[in-house]
Amino acid sequence: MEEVKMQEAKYEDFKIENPMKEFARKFLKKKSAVVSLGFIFFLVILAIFQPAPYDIDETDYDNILSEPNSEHLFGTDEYGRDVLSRIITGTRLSLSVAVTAVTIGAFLGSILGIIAGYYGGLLESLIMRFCDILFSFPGLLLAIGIVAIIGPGLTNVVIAISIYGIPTFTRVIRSSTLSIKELLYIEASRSIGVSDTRLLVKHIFPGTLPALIVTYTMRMGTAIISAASLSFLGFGASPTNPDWGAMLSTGRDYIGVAPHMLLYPGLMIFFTVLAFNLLGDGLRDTLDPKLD
Amino acid sequence: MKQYVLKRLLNIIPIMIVVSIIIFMFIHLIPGDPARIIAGQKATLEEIEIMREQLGLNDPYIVQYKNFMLGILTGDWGNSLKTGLPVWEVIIPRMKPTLILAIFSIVWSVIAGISIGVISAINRGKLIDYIVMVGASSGISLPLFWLGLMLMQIFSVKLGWFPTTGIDSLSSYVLPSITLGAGITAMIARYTRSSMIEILKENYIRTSRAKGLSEFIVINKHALRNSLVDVITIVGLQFGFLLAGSVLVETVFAIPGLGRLLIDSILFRDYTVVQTVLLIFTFQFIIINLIVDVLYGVANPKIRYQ
Amino acid sequence: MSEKLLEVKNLRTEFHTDKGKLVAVNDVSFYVGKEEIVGLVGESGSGKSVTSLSVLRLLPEQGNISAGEVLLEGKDLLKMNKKDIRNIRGGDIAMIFQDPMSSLNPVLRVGEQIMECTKLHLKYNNSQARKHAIDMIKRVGIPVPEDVMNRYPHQLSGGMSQRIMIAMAMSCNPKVLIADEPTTALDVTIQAQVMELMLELKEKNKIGILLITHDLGVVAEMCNRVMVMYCGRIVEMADVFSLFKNPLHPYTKGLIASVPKIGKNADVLPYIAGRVPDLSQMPKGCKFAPRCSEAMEKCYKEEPKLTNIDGNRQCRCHLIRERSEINE
Repeated sequence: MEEVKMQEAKYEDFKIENPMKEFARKFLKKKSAVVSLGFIFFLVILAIFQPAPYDIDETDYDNILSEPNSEHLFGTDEYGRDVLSRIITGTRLSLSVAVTAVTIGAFLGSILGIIAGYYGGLLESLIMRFCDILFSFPGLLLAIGIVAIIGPGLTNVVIAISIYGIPTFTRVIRSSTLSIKELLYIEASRSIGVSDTRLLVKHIFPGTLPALIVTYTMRMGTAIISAASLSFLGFGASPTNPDWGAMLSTGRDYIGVAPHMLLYPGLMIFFTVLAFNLLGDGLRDTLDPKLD
Repeated sequence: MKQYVLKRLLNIIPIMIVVSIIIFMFIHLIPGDPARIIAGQKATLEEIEIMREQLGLNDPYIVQYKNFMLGILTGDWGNSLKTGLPVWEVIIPRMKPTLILAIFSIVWSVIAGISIGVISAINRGKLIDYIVMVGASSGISLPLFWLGLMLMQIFSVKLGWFPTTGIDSLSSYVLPSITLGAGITAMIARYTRSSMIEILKENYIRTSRAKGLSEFIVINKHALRNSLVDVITIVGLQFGFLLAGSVLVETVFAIPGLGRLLIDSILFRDYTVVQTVLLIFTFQFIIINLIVDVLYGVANPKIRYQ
Repeated sequence: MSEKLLEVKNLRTEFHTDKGKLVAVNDVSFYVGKEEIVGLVGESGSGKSVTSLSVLRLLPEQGNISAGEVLLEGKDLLKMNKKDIRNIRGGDIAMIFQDPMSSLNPVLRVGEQIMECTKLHLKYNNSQARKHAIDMIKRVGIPVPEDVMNRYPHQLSGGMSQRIMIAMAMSCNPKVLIADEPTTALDVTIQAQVMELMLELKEKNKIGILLITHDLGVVAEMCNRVMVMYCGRIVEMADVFSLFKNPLHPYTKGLIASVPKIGKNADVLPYIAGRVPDLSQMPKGCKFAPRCSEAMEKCYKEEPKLTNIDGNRQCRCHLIRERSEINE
């Protein structure tokens, strides 16, 4: 009795929506992700145009550690510099550290991941053991260890965070590659005699993109926190740089007298990380890569 | 089960060896001549040569590594470059605060995380669930050290409820533990929630309701036990966060623990101490993950009876 | 007519979904008597499972019962408070489900899952419950019950799991057993054994069974009476012999015709054309009209009422109504 004949399929049933349109339709439903994207866009604008009301190095010794007021919305620091201006200007540095570090990590990690997933065998085992080893340094400690070896400084922080991100990307991209490899069309195109390189670039890489985009977004949050943490520990940006983490590091010494020096840069980091995490959640739900 | 444990053990031994090699290589990876670094800027060439001989730096790497590991295993961890004291004398007193901090943090965050996750899951879509979700997303996005500073500012500086720094009494650990556990709580709550939501859709939950069991027993016995099997793994991952976080929290609250020792030693270029602390942290992490894997096996009958 | 154990009157169950309110069960009435197996037959999506879940108020969150009565020996289950209905669940009315493997809790031992029922409903202590559980496992025909008690569900086969489910359901001596596709997920040989077991339990314990299935073979073998459901409505109700011998509703006719018969060498198995309409796009008149070969103009405009025929039968069809009116 389960033999039930299907009705004639209507055209609408099989009409495939433009993938970009479908993505946009689904994504726009995720309000928190849309707001987050807006906020990130706003940050990018700040980073590019740096519309700071004051010069960030302009000291005002009559006006040190003053609380937020109409002239200095977020107050001033120990040299009388405008905190708001330093936060706005710092956007460029803080974001570019994170973007650079995550991009390098994503690039190297994805290459390793695709190779491991596509070729398999000994190469895969070697790459995955390499990841296991990187993963066995708990969290930020890997970055701290690397900075300990290569020394403090902003460039070294970028290197450390890049390496810290590699195993995450490798794992995600490998499993994504594996599932794409399973798909028939790869089998088919291989049997036609397409070269490995072409296959990797034309078929496998585009297939890993959803996973890559989601992981990239999620890692941005981690990278911003990591960079700020390293700066706070004294390994990163020097206090003269308008970096959010470095501002907190300095602010710590004035916790009793000028809490605003801590509050605002911290809030900025928090909202930025939150925006990337929420955007990542939203992208994950809409792109639906099979992350494990 | 025995096989499962054995397999895990065999898995981590090579990793531990490679990690120890990397950490051993540490002193050679630093730019510059280790003997010169250790002997100090003002040392003469002769003194450096003596130092080199003393440290066994003229031996082949393999011999050096053997001596390093033998030393680690027999408790001879070398001397601190900064103070000249044996490394274990420097490290041992630093272990207790870190251990107390870690235990407090993990205990409260596991209890709170699971409870919040369950409450959120059974109230899915209601206001309380929404609040929990917002809170969890925020908890994950908070820079740990900043949360610590804010809590210190409010509860120690302004309200004076807790000491700002140091470890004079157990109350000194309250704010650091809250700080260190916040992110972990958020992660566990999020994970427990989504795991519970999936499990509550399972057929065996319907069966337990059809038996006439109260909602309390259905949730806490039938659903939660299944969810815990999943949650154990996520708790294991959080230990990495815990160990790395302790470095930050100890810095914020000036707790003389291992994490703070690591940072100070890096800043003072006290490399023998750095090596040992890194080794302790990584081995600890690897072993905890092994324990978590075994616990997962114990909690999951499908693995226990294979 | 046997004594009415469980009686459902004018049950209406709705689901709140994105597409709005959907009526999954509409004006369903039936009863199950003592020592009687009543079959509830229909395609997937016909509302038969929702009907069975409605009886014990086990519907998922989006579902709610908006009208009707569910009477167990005269007491309305729908009016009970949560505590009283829990006493009924697993106590007076027990239920077994389609997929036994996923219906047992994977992290609890089988014994524990059975003992839980008697501890709750019969207030047994640990040793009483254990003894009773072993006894129940023995009664459902599993050898070495003591060993099975300590196993976890993944260590059981599908047939064993369903036997355990039955043992669990029967452990508190229920008056009514609701079996939702109890044999669908099982191998054919195991199916026969499980059905045999249910028949035996019915005889011995004098229970009433509501058997939900889409398999007319199972119905023919086990049931005393049958109800056919379509789109949340009962379209025909009759004793099992009359139904198979003389199906009245065109849908029932189609169902019976589409069962493959041994010895009848048909090249094409007859089937009912079209598909079950989506709950959100119900046709206006008779819900079956679009697929019915005998549909008249009236069928598309007006929904037929469930009509009594020959005293013991009911059918929801304009054709039958006209015929019976002529007879009167």
